[in-house]
Amino acid sequence: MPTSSRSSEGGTRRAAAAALLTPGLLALGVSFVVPLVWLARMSLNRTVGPAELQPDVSLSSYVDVLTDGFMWEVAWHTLWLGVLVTVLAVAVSYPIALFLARTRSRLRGLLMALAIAPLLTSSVVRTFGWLILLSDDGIVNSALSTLGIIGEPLTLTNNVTGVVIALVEIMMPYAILAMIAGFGRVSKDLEDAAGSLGAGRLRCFVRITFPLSLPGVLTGALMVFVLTVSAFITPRLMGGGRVFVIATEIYDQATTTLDWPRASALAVLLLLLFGVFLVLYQRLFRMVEGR
Amino acid sequence: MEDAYLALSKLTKTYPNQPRSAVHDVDIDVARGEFISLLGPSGCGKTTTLRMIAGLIAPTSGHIRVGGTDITNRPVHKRDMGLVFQSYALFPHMSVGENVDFGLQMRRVAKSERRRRVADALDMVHLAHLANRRVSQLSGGQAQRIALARALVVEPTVLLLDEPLSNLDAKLREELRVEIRRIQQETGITTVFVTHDQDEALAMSDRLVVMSEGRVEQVGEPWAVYETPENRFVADFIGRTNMFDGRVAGQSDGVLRLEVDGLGTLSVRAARTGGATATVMVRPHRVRIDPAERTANELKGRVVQSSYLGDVESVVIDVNGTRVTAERTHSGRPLTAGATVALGWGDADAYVIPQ
Amino acid sequence: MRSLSELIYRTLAGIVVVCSYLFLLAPLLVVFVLSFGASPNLEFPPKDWTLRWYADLAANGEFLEGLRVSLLLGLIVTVVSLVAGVTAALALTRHRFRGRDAVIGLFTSPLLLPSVVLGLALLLVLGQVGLVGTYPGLVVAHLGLTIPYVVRTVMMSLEAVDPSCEQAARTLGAGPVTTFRRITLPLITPGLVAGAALSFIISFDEAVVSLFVVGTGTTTLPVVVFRYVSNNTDPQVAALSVVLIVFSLAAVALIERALGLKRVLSKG
Ligand SMILES: Nc1ncnc2c1ncn2[C@@H]1O[C@H](COP(=O)(O)OP(=O)(O)OP(=O)(O)O)[C@@H](O)[C@H]1O
Ligand SMILES: [Mg+2]
Repeated sequence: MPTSSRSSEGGTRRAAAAALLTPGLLALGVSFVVPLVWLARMSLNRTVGPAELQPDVSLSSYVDVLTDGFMWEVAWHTLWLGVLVTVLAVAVSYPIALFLARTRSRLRGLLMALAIAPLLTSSVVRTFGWLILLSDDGIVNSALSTLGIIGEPLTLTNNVTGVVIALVEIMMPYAILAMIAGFGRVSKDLEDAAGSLGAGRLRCFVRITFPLSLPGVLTGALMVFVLTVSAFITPRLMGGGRVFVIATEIYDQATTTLDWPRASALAVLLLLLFGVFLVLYQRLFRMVEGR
Repeated sequence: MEDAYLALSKLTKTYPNQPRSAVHDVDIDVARGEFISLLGPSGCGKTTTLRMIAGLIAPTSGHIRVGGTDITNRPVHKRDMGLVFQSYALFPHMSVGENVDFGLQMRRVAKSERRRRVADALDMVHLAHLANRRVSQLSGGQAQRIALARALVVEPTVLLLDEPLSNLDAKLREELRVEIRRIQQETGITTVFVTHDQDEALAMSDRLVVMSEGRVEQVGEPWAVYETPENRFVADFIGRTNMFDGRVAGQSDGVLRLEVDGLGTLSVRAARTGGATATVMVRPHRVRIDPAERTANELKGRVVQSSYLGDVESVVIDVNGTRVTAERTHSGRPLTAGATVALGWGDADAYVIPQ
Repeated sequence: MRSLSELIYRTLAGIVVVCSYLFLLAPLLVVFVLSFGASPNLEFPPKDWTLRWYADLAANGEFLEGLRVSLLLGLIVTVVSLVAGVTAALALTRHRFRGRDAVIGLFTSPLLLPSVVLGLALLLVLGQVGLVGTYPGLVVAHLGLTIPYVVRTVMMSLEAVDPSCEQAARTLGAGPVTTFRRITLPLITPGLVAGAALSFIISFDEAVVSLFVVGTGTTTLPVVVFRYVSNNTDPQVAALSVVLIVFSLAAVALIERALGLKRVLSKG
């Protein structure tokens, strides 16, 4: 009966789709799904001594973390760093993004690549660059003292200042990319129209350009924020071990203290923070878009 | 048909999650060497039917036979059919020659023979000089000729064409129409041609299949489908027409008399009809305006609108509240709206649509 | 005067844009210049020039070992990602099935995961099965980061391929595998190139996840550099950084030519 062989043909197609998906799903399964589940499970175990854990299903690690004053300090520190870096990175990226979104220069492609290419260079390398730039006898300090602006070198590394400066720069390509993508509605024609209606440059920017670019700014801000609060390399290297954020804390708990349940609980909390911000962002984005 | 070469029987396709079938119980027989067109409005299931023949869509039920062999469950690449797409579907990474060669390579034809057959196929479409061109450098008309050569070079059992002329401009379309027909007759290949352009279908085909909403409405030679449509849909879809519903008032000597509101009694040559009502159809070009001699049906009306189209003038005439469209080959100044005219047609100019 | 204010505006805007660019590129430029400076104290601007640091680099066993590990790892990860990513992209573009959107979501979500969290999670799992510090362990660790990009670039390319080309090949007698090899594969080459370049450079530059799961004999170059820079900054690292930057630039050029950097890296 043809009908049966035909339904088996549909089945063949389904089997083909399943076969094609298998390698990818398997790879993602072992490289990220299983580990995350494992991490969540680990966070429920109990630490009984240094590097010693007892299988359990309890929230004791979470209680430990959430009742630890130092952890709260680190969390606030991380959030504060996130907000500061986000504001600064968006501010310095905005001109480049706006420029790239509107320029009709022949160099646009090159300038675009130049702005986002740093994304594909190691953040270790870029942080190293900032270490050189900002060290006590580094370029910035020697330039400032040559100009007679400062007598004593400013301390710009091994503290939060350096971390902020370097993170702002490291986040810029993400911000630029996200903003350009969101700048779809900012058209030069619209501004020209406003200009021909007699609106001055500043008014035109405040009334037309900026509101239209808000969705892009929001997307950029979210990107930078979530990447900053989970950044590890730069806070570690620029902070010289003196700047504590959730990510460095997780690393230390996992590799130095060897308190895995606690590290896992922290990681889960960081993920939750991520989730909360994603949801908040979506709400906010819909509000801005919906206007 | 006894000698059907390609036979579709009770072919049905219901797409997943669709309430109605896109193709329903379609029976079509195509003789060897015949050129048959599938014609119908958009969405009537022409492409679906063609793709089922090609093997690109699996039928929900029904059978497809070629030369007596059931190929319903044979995979696409073993069906040996040539398919030409509306979008040409040439391989962009191959030259023109490589495109045409592809099917021969798949059939493991020897290299020397391949070279000869590719050259012959390109000759056939008059594009031998383009063998080394990149596909992106072809015009639409050239691309479609190459697609045709590519489909034919493997000498498929059946040639399937899905609106191959739709992407071309009017002049090219006409040119290629002639060309396709010539090649089809030269090669004698059995061909199924999908189109929603009735001029194309009428001009090219040995027979037409008129489809609507997944069903076959009528199969027949172009003149027969045009002159003697089997139902209102076909009458309306092929060409322009006037249709009047009326009550049967009498019948004698092969002439039926029909009472139509506003028009009075019309006479039309027809075999006996059983019913008390009937629908009569008159093509606009059969309606004569101010006829010189007497006709079987004589009416008077007021011109509502006249469209001057150059070779013909299309006139809409109000006859006691019923609209009649007439066409006259031109003879001077077009009629003006409001003018009163006499019109008429012979009893052989009209046709009773079988219900 | 309108034209004068226009001029001032344009000049100011130009200065702001140029300064932003300078800030963005400062660390890379400085590293580049200092890698050729003769002073071991990273004096800027250098008074003398030298290639000494590059020579030192070539003699530094630790760095060379890191480079070897990273290159090997990058290659394996790229090959595996291509296989897994291309098949998945094929399924997602050429087949319609229930839960397709969810699978697409799954294939793109690792992009949003904090590396530290992923690193820790991998350390825990790989530790459990004794794969920490091994190549298989490292490959697994990097796959979650690279596959989404391959799926993305290949899907972009696949969506640009007219499905009727593949169907035409089928009607001409090509089976599914031949059709893929002769038609689909050549047509998605740009996606493959971009995906491969991205996979390689992401794996090659990855530091955080690797930091958790490397071991003796499998320490990747970024981890070596990270550890080295934690303790000292010297021109040899600048030279090494330049090498890393050159790899990145090569990847950037490939991706830009194949699909366009912006398209590939933009979210959504
Ligand atoms: N893959 C599909 N899934 C669901 N429905 C489909 C699919 N393909 C076609 N259909 C539906 O089946 C019906 C017939 O489609 P088909 O493409 O065969 O029409 P067609 O006669 O070729 O029309 P056109 O002249 O517009 O090309 C249409 O109603 C269409 O919406
Ligand atoms: Mg169609």
